[in-house]
Amino acid sequence: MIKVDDIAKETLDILKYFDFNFVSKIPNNFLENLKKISKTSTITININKDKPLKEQEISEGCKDLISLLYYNYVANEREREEILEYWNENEEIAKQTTKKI
Amino acid sequence: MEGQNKKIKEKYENVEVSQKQSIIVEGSTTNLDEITRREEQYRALVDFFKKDIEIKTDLINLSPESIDEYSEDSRMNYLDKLFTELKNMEFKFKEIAKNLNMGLQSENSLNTYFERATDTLSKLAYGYNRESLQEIYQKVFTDMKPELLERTKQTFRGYTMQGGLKAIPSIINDVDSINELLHIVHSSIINDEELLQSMPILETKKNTLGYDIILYGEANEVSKEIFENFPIDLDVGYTDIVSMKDRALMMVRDRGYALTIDIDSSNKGTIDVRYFIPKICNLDMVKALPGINTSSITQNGASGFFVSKEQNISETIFNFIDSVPTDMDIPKSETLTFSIDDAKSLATGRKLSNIKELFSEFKQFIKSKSNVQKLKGEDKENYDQSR
Repeated sequence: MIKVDDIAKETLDILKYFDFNFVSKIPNNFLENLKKISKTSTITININKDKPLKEQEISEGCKDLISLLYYNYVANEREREEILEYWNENEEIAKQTTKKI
Repeated sequence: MEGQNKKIKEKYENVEVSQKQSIIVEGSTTNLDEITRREEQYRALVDFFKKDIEIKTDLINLSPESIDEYSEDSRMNYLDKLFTELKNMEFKFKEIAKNLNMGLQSENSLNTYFERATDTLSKLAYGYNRESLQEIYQKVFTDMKPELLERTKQTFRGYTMQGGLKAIPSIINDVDSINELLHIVHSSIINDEELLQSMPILETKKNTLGYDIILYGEANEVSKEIFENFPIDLDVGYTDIVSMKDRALMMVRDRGYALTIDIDSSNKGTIDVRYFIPKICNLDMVKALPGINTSSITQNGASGFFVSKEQNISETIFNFIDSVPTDMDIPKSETLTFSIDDAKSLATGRKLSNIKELFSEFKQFIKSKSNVQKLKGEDKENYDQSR
């Protein structure tokens, strides 16, 4: 079950550690909506300064949302096509792995 | 030149001592050639702002009216007018370039631009697609592309190499309309600290950090007041105030990297203040600035506009400058940063079905929240009606 308010809060917290170049591309009204959604969440995140983003202890939902933000607001046409290919490929690999099991 | 120098010499021999002293900068003296050069630069700058207003007025007056579309004759008359005005504007821009010594590359790039603009106008006016006069007018004269505005911010900023007039050729190929051309020329001028510093020097003082605060040009009441009251303990770098009859341009180093302020005092009683901040440093502080245009805030800077009463102007300007963030205001958390590349790298590891599911959950959540709010609204209505 996806807890949308927790993901919103996690994402907002981790965006504070992002370079302004990334955050500035996200529309203000989207961030305002995330803030509203996150109001009911009580989780806290702990950022480990020695680890890169991929290894941070954040939920899969938060990673998905950051990826979606990149896809929607930062990536150009060519990058979007590449990312979509990755998403489809990863999907296939996961299905194959499940079948073998 | 000799005759001119003689005239200048005679002029300066007759001025009062205090005025002569105002031309002499501490630690150096200016010779007559330099005085002449600075005066010419000043006249060129004043002429630019005069032409800036003329061009803007011409653009407004050029707007088509419904009667222009009435018949084929009226349409042709209007189109002829557009060609004529385009040529007039070409003369004005070339004069600006010549006066300000923009250089051969900039002058050539202007030639190329106007050839392209004329070609565009011809194709729109006489091509197969019968464009409306309003569309032709907008495409050639007034449209402003958001991406051009962004590139302008990126290209023209003070205290960077090739950040002023010299940078015009690098962006002019992205310019379509006259309005866009005027915008880039304006930005190149007000963000060119070398140009501003080439004006005649009126007065100078140092702040407590040892940086010069210099008043150039032709003092007006507003610029004099700002210069004289400029607090020497205000935490700024080199500050240039270029004064004209009804206008002052300021460039303040080390506030937002190189804050530029355009102070227009042509309206009696009120003063229009426009500003550009090339480096954001602290987003929350920038968002709180008076008249900030929040949609203009990007990694390339931000701009804003406010109106001040004449009697409060210097206090307003100093308070404003003091509110613009510096490098010291960059939040500590920004030193631990994840970059755009980190987000991209993260994105390549995700699965499509999970992304879709997340998107759908968010949509449902937002929908259910707005339904609850609607219900709460209805309940409140019912409650109010029952009372």
